[in-house]
Amino acid sequence: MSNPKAVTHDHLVDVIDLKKVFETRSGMLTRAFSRDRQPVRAVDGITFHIDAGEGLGLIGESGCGKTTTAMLLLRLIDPTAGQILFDGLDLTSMNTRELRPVRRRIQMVFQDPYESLNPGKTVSSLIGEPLVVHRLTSGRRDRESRIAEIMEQIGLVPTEEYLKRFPHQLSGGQRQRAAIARALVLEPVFLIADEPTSMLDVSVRAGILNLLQGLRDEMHLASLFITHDLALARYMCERIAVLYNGKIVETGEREELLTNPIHPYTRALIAVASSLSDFWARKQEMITELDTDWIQLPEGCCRFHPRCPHEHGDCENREPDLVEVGPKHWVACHRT
Amino acid sequence: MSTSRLREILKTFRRNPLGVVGVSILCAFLFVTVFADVISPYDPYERVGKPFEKPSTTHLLGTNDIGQDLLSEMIHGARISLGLGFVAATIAMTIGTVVGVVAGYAGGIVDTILMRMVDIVLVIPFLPLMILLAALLGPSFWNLVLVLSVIIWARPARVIRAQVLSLKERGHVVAARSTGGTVAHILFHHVIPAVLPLSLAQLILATRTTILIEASLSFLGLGDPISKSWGTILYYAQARSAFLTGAWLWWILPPGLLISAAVLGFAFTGYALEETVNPRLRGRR
Repeated sequence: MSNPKAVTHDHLVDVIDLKKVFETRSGMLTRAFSRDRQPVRAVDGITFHIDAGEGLGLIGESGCGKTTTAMLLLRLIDPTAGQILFDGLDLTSMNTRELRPVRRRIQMVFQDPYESLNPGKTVSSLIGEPLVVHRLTSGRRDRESRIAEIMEQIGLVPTEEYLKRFPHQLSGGQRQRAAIARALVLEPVFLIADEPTSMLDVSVRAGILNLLQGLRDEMHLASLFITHDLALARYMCERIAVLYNGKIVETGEREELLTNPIHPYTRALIAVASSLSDFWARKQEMITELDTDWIQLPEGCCRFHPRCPHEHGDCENREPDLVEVGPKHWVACHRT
Repeated sequence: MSTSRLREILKTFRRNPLGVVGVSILCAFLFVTVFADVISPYDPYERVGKPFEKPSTTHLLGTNDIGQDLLSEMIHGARISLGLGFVAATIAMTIGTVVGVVAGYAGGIVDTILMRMVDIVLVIPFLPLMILLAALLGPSFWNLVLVLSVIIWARPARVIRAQVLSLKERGHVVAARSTGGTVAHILFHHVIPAVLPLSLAQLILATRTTILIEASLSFLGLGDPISKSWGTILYYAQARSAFLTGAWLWWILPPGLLISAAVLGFAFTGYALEETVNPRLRGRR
C-alpha cells in the first residue's frame, strides 16, 4: 500500500476513495422555513484493500459509517463517488443483472439474526434459498443434501431436528448459525460480517466467533469484520482499520496497531478496552463524549478535533491525510 | 403463507369477540347462499300467490306486486348481493394488491405515477360517478362489478403500499437482496406472502363497501332490474309505494336488516382480521 490510490489487482478487494452522502430530503416548505440541513457524509472517501484469505477489522463507534461501508460493498446502496474493485471487477459500474454472479461470491452475515431471517420460512428453505436463487443445485435431493452438509459444518446438528423449524423456534445463537449457513452455502470468497455477535448473549458469542474463524481458515475466506469491540477485531483479524466519522484515521497490522497506536482516537479506544489496572494509567488518553453533532462539522478540518485531547494546531483548518508511519501502518493526524 | 403463521393468526383471531361475531354472521349468510334452493319455500321467479298479500303462514313475508313470495326473493337475493359484492371486491383487491406492491417496491417515478392515480380515484365523488357509469354502461351484473371494482381498488392499494414500504427495508428482505435474489424472487417469496393477510382483511372490508354500494345503486334503479338482489327488492318496494301502504314492515324492513347484518358481519370480520395481522391496531377501541 505504497500509494493508497493505486489500483492493484493482487488484492481481492480494493476500495478506492469511496463516498456516500445521504441527502436529507425535505419538501419546499421545510426548506423555506427551517435552518439549512446539511447532507450527511456517512462515508467520506475511504480507501482500503483486502487480500484473498485475509481478515480486515473495521472498528469504530456507532454512526461512524461502518454499516454503510458494508452496504456499499454489497451494492445494497449506491455510492456517491469512488470505486469498489472486486477481483478486478468494478462493482460500482455494474447493473443489478451483472451484479448477480458477483453477489454469489460476496456474502454478508447481518448484525441481527432476529431480523435477517424471514420469520415465515423453515431453516431448510432459508438455507436453500441462496441455492435456488443462483440455481446451483440440480433438483430437490441434491439441494437437501447440500443443506444438510452445510448445517453439519456450522453446527446445527442433528440436522433432522432443525430442518423444519422456524426462526422463532431457534435461539439467538442458532439463528446466527443459520444466517452464517445461508451466507456460506454459496461458497463465497469474501465474507462481510457486520457485528455478527452484538445481538447475541455473551455465552454464545465465543461459539459463533470460533465458528467464523474456523470457517475462514477452512474455506480460505477473505473477510471484513465490522465491530466496535477492539478485542473482537484483535481476535478475528490480521489487520485493523479504525473508522471515525466516515474517515479511516488509522490502519495497520493487528499487533502493530494495538501496541503502538498513534492516532488519539485509536489510543482512546484502546484505553477504554484495556483492563481496569491499565485504565487509571491510561486515563489521560480518554476522550470526551460527543457533545457536538458531528454531521455539522464543516469540510476541511480534522474530523476528530472537537474531541481531541491534544493541542489544536492545523486541525481546524486542514484535513489530515493518511501518512505511512511504519510498515503497513498509516495514520491520519497532524501530530505525526 | 406458512402454516405456523396461519395458525398463529387463527389463534389471535379467535380471542377477538368482534371477529367471532362477524364470522358467525358470515357463516350464516354463506349457509343461506349455498342452500338457497333448499331453504326458500318457493321459486322467487314464480307467481305463487295474489299480488300484495300480507304475511301469512303460507307466505311468511307476504308477496310482492306480481305475487312472488318475498321471503324466497330475499333468500335468493343473498346470492346476488353477496356474490356480486364479493366478486367485485376480489377484482378490486387484486388490482389494489398489485398496484400497492409494485408502487411500494419499485418506488421512484413508478410509485409517484401510481399514487397520483390512486389520489385521483380517491377524490372523485364516487356516487355521482357510479350513477353516471352505471347509466352509461347499462344495467347488468358484470357492468356493476366493473363499476364497483374501478372505485374500490384505490384505498387498499394505499394500505398495501405502506406495508411494502416498511417491508422492503426489513432485514430479511435486504438479506435476500444481498444474496442476489431477483426482484421477482423477492416479491414472490418475501413481500407478497407477508402482505397477503393484510390483503385478505382489506378484501373483507372492501366486500362490505361493495355490498352497500350495490344496494344503493340497485335501489336507485341503476342495478340489473331482472336479477333479485336486496337492493332491487327495495327498489320495487319503493316504486310500488310500500312506504305509504304499511307494507314497509315486511317488504322494506327485512331486506334493509339483511343488508345491515351482512355489512356488519363483513366489517366485524375485517376489523378483527386487520387487528390480528397488524398488532399495532390492537386495543385501539
